[in-house]
Amino acid sequence: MRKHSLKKATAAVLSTAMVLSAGAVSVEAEEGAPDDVKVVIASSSDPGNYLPFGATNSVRSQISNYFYESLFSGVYGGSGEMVPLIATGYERETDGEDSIYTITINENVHDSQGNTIDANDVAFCYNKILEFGERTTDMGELVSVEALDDYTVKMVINNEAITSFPWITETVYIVDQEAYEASESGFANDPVGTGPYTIKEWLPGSSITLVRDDNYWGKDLGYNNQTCKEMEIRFIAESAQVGIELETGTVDFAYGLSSMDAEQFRDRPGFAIDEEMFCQVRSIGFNESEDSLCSNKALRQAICYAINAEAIVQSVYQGKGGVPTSLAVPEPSMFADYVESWDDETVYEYDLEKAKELMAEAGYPDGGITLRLMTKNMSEYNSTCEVMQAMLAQIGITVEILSYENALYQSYRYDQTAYDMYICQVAPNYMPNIVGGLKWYMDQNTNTGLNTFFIHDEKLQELLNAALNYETGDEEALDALWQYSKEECFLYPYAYTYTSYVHVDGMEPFINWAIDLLPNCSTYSADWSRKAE
Amino acid sequence: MRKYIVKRILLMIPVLLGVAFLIFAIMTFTPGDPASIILGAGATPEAIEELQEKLGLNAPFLVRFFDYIKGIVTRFDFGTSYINGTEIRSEILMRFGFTFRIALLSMVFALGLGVPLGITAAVNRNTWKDTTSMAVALFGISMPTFWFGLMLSIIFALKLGILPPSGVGGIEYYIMPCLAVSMSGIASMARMTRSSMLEVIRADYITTARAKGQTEKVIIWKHALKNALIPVITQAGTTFGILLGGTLVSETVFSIPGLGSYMVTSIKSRDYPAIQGSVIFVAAVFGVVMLVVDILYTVVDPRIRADFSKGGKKKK
Repeated sequence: MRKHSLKKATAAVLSTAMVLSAGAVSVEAEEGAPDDVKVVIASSSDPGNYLPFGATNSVRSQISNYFYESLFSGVYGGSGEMVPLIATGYERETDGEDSIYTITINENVHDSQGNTIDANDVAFCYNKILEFGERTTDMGELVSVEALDDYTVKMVINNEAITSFPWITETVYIVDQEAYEASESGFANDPVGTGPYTIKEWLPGSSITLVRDDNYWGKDLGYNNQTCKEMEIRFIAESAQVGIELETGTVDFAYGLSSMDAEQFRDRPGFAIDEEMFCQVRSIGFNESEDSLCSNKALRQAICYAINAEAIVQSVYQGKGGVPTSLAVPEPSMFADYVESWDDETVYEYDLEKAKELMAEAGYPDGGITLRLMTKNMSEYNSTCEVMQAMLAQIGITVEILSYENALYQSYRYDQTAYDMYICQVAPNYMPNIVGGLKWYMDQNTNTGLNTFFIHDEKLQELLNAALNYETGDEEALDALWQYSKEECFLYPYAYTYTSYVHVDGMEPFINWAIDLLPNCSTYSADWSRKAE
Repeated sequence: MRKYIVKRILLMIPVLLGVAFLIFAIMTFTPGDPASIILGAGATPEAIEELQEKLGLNAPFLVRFFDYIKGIVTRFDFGTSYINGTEIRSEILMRFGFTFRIALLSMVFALGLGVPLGITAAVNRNTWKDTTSMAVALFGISMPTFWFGLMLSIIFALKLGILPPSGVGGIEYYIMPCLAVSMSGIASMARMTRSSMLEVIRADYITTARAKGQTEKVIIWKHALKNALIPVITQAGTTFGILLGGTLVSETVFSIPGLGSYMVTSIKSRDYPAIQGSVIFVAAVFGVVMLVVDILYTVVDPRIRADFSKGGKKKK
């Protein structure tokens, strides 16, 4: 067994990081802020359950993180930085293709019912994940987890990618085995976790109210994650109604307001708008199988040159965004592996003449072809498709728009006869490495040996493996992957966007990675009027 | 009468089986897959296939159908949700409570306002009262519930601040949703009552009543209305049955976790057990409401009551 020493591989270093990262939660409790703050948040959908071991679900995670915790956290560190939570640190060794982690656990962790969490509980939770099998896609490398003693576990990861360990340790909730087994619903509707809040009241489909756990074990970690006493999350599907709720003062913070509904609050006394860059890039993916005309590289490039991405940003997103220069949004602080030189690049800059030349090279000098563009049936995507339809008509391509609801879209995604191009969102979600987000699109280690473009490309796989590999994955490897991907035109990124969050004055929201508001880490003014009962 | 009710209840069994079979077949042959939804956008085809197997989606159609029916008949078990693992039966009953409140209050509005409006229009035929009543009815039918709901919210919650904009709680939370839903009901009740009343008030027995010197109030409310009620009851029963199936638009606008929004969410996520359970439940409720409507006929119209009695005697 070869002991591998890495700079982040010791518990001591992590402990230091823990102390440092305590300040990473950017806000400190405002002086004089009341202790009994209640905040009401409008969210568009109810996760429906709080199962700790099911497939990851971003809506569920938003709320689950208040009462569940994992070994490490990508939430409190900001920009996805990995900080210790239930774990205190780890050591890594390798044995052939296996990476063996020895993880130490905090000795004073307990859940909201007072049950102590130890290494056996950690092993139990990971084994439940393996048993359920709903996470083979994102945690397929995990081989086993076992307790070595009360506060130490051994985790084995096979063919470890650079993203594996953070993902595996940040997205699995640790709960007490006995409490879990005593729950008839498997914690679906009566979750008990170690997090800073507990559920006070939950009316499925309507609202959930969480209350600060005064006996929270992690107060000394320094993450300052209990700044409000009570949080009520109300599920309001209709954007216009959210606007009315904000105006009437029944809601303090709104997720997912349409840009039109959000704009009415600009410069309005009593309200503030935060605009945050959304971490994923709107892109076109191509079906490169023999069933599609898009197997022709020159045709794909012609399509990219014929699309005026800036016009899409202006018309569909009212200028709230920009044209990306790579498959990641141009915000280096969001990703650990962001390549700075990408800022100076362009991706198939709009050039109609070049597009026509490429059409001729592809064998369609006069156009006359029809391509199917598939999208989820969402207003912004439908508008984007219509704009693209008009743009591609200029080079003689007739675009047939196939707009499907989510379930159909997900099904047809794997059918190479169903479309020629599709609208998607690329790059990582809740993951600090760009390459992690590209893996799903490009990886050919599947039953069919094909990736999501329905091709088998040895060079692409080689570059992907190099970028993903724990030892070789670095900016250079990622850049090589992107340059090849750009040249071959597998994906065409056309827009990154900003999301508007409207909230009342008197609150300084802590927004994690432009996805989640953390009301428990936000600050509130001394005269905050809504109080917990 | 009792025999008739028992017969109707027994007849509901094949109807519900037919509904169950239809919805099962529709869900089976509709594209879209719950496994893909559960595992999310990043799932590999292998993982999806594995979950399909685990959920039993790969079993033959008839095997799944009979297992499902067996569960309902033997254990009153509608299964558990693929998406959130909750028991469908308790979820439906919880959601139905909200929908029932909206439906009931909406019917109170619809009958309480629609019937008097229709009577006023009929009694004052071709006068400004008739025109105004029918204009109100036209307005109610033409107005989209979605728009009207938001308007109510702006006026009563935002501008006047007298009602909560959305959510669930006390009776005040249901006033706007019910008004929004009942507008088309008020309109249809008014139109139906008017046309039915117009037919009745021309009848000979009404002329006779007038000739006998009965007051107009007694003639309209006692003699005419009772006889004009049959089509109104039919209309009210149908509307009530439909409302009990979920008032989707109102539930969405006012964030009410009713049966309509539950079914739509389930359809979007291809949560087969939730869809099947809800549809069968709604069909059963509709059947019961229609039975109650038939029984109400006998209360209102002695001729129908006599028919039932006669039918009963013949069989003896």
